[in-house]
Amino acid sequence: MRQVGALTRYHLELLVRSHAWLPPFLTFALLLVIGVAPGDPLLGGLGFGAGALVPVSAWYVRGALQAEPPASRACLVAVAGPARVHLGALLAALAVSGLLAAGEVALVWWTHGPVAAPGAPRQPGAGEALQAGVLAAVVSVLLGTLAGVLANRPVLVRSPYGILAALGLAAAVLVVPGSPANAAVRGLVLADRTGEVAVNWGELPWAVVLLAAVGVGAAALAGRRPR
Amino acid sequence: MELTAVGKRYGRGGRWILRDVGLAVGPGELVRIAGANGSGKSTLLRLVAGIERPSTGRVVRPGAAAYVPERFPPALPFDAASYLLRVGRVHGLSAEAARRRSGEWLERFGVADRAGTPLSRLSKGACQKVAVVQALIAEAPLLLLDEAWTGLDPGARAVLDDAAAERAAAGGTVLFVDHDPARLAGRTSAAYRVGADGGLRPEAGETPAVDGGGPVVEVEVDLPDGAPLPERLPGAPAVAALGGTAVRLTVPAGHSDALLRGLLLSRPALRVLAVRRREEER
Repeated sequence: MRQVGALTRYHLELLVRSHAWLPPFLTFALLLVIGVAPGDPLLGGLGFGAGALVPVSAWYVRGALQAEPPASRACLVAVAGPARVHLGALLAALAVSGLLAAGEVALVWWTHGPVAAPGAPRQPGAGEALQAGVLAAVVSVLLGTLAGVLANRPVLVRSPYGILAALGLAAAVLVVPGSPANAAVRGLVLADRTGEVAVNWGELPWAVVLLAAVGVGAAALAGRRPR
Repeated sequence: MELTAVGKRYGRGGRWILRDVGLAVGPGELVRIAGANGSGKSTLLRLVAGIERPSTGRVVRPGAAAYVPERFPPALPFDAASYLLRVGRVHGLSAEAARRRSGEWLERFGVADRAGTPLSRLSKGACQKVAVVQALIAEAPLLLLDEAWTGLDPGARAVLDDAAAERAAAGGTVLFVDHDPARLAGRTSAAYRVGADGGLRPEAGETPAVDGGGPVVEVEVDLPDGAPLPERLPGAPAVAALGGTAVRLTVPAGHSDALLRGLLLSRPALRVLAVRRREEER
């Protein structure tokens, strides 16, 4: 476990030093600027932000996996084995996306106007809305990371289709009923319209289990399918 | 470290690069893998390192491996010191130990002054030194050098020669590939050649360093109060009693530095009376 921690630190530093963190970050910032104006309702802003986190988290997985040249990866694999090296990269991507999620919630909170849309039948408490927003952001990061895991090596080895697959999976995660990200984001958008906030914490463990299963599966596959 | 009936090919129907390879290398051995270009020497090392999986057969490793690749990427966006710190942490070293050891090794290779330089701005030789140091700081039970000498200056090559011999003398298993057939001559314990058919055979004409030919070094030490010799001395020296409490240790010249270091650091302290280099006339 300590070795996975050290590998996560390695990949985090790699992600930051290689500037691979920058393009997804700028894209996310642009999306927020377009989608959320100061004075907008809190719930709507949180819903939009959470939705935008899904493709950006998938992108960070790609960035973390591609920042490492094959030769230096080989050195790490000799020390720690392919599965742990892969897990380290995934956790680094997850950490950066998590940081971005925190920033997103803080920014929307900072600039928001009313809690729900002005036409809503009732205005819920801001605390409740914030809880739902944090939950949606976390779930979106987890599911976006999952999309990224599936759209990159070792699961998808033909890299020209990686970006397309990541976008498709991110969209699917957002619209397919039963997906925790779909439930969380849809809940926020609905709450924005009706003023009825439902914070369903049950989505969180479900998302964690999904990502853990897919992540561990991909890491195990990394050993069987070195490029 | 043991390979049993290992075969490797890329893709179904691909050419067998390695076929039915069996190889057992114990602690303290320094083994050369020879072969023509493209014969699968590097693939063999990568299989041992666990970077690739064998298509058939089994690879058993004693623990973590330290691996130096043929070409190290200067595209890595680290400076030397922080890269070595991060890799040292992955090896399980404390941050303090990782910094100290990488400092010592960079010093030994003469690039300590470039520790803070980004790898992308280092010369090819200096970058290769960082790649080598990355593997040496671990003191891993298994050291794999894939043409690690390529791109090093003569001084650094000699340092790496010594480092590989020291690792073996300290009980590590060292496997190396190099295009120079004289590399570590007389210091290796065995050599193998990968044939055109993918098989691995002992190299003909290679003399193991320990009992056949090659210069040896005799070290005479005095053991105060007849204390026993430290166990597991580097290089597995032959011991002969001299008069009184003195003994004579004989090792292949390649292991003499490591043996002396081991003796000087041993507790209770013993006294080194003489060090002699002798051409073996057995």
